[in-house]
Amino acid sequence: MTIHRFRLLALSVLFGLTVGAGMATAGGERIAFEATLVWGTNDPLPPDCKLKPVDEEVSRKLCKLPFKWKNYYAVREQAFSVKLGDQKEVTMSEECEILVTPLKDDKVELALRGKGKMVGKVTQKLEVNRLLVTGGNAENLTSWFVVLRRVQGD
Amino acid sequence: MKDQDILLKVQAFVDGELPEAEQAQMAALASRDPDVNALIKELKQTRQALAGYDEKRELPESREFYWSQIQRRIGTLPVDMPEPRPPSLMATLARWLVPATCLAALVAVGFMVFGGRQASDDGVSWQAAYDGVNAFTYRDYDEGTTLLWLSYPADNAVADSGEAATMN
Repeated sequence: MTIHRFRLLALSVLFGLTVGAGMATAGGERIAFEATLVWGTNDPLPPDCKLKPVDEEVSRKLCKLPFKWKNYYAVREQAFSVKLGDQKEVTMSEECEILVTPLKDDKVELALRGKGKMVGKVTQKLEVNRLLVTGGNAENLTSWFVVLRRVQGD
Repeated sequence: MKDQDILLKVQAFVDGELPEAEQAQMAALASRDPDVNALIKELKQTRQALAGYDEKRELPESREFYWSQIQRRIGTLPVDMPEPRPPSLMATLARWLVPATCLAALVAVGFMVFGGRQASDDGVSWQAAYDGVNAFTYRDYDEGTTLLWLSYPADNAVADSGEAATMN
């Protein structure tokens, strides 16, 4: 009788742990990101421009990329968090939106939409403080970048 | 006593080993010098006396056959070789441990060189939504930065124009 009770208790604990873990996964921790639309140029900013340089660390990492631009300005910064497997649409500018989907194993899918048209999507493992940078040419020999950084969640 | 050269020449004269010119000189010397003449006579007598004791042996077979038999007997003699001893435990261990250690070291080096990079090489996967969107990726492994550079058909006019070179 005692053994039977013990088995019942053990099974209950096991069941509880399994369901709890499942719920924790299903409830999903939120993965935090920062997305920055960046303008790359070699020209100094006009006096009336309110853009500010990207933060020092991002600037240093961008400057290490094999590009000719020396100045990187943050056009728009967005901080957000998404549940694992969910998709978050973030507007970076009137013409640029990104769709961020955290996947298993620290991977993230970043889809780009320009002028309302899907451009493509990139999937990449992205650990905390790592950068996933997409970019292209812009007018007047400048460039645009979307810098996606995974940040430590709360 | 005659000097050593004269004695040797006398012996050679008796054995008939001197060249013709010296043979004549030695004959002349023997006729002049009684000591030399006496020595020559003594040597000739001794030679004649010993000639009868030089036993001549005849081989029963040909010379080559005789020596080939000796050679064959030498080959069949048991060779006194030391018994091979069973290898010691340490020798057996060393035999396996040395290559195993080398292999492990190679694997470790390979892992250190390529493993870390492999672990961080998370495989950038790009999927364009439509034709004409070209992309290339660049990885800065030190900073953990991945760049995906996109070029659209609309951008090409800008990118291809003169100083629009993107790279440094």
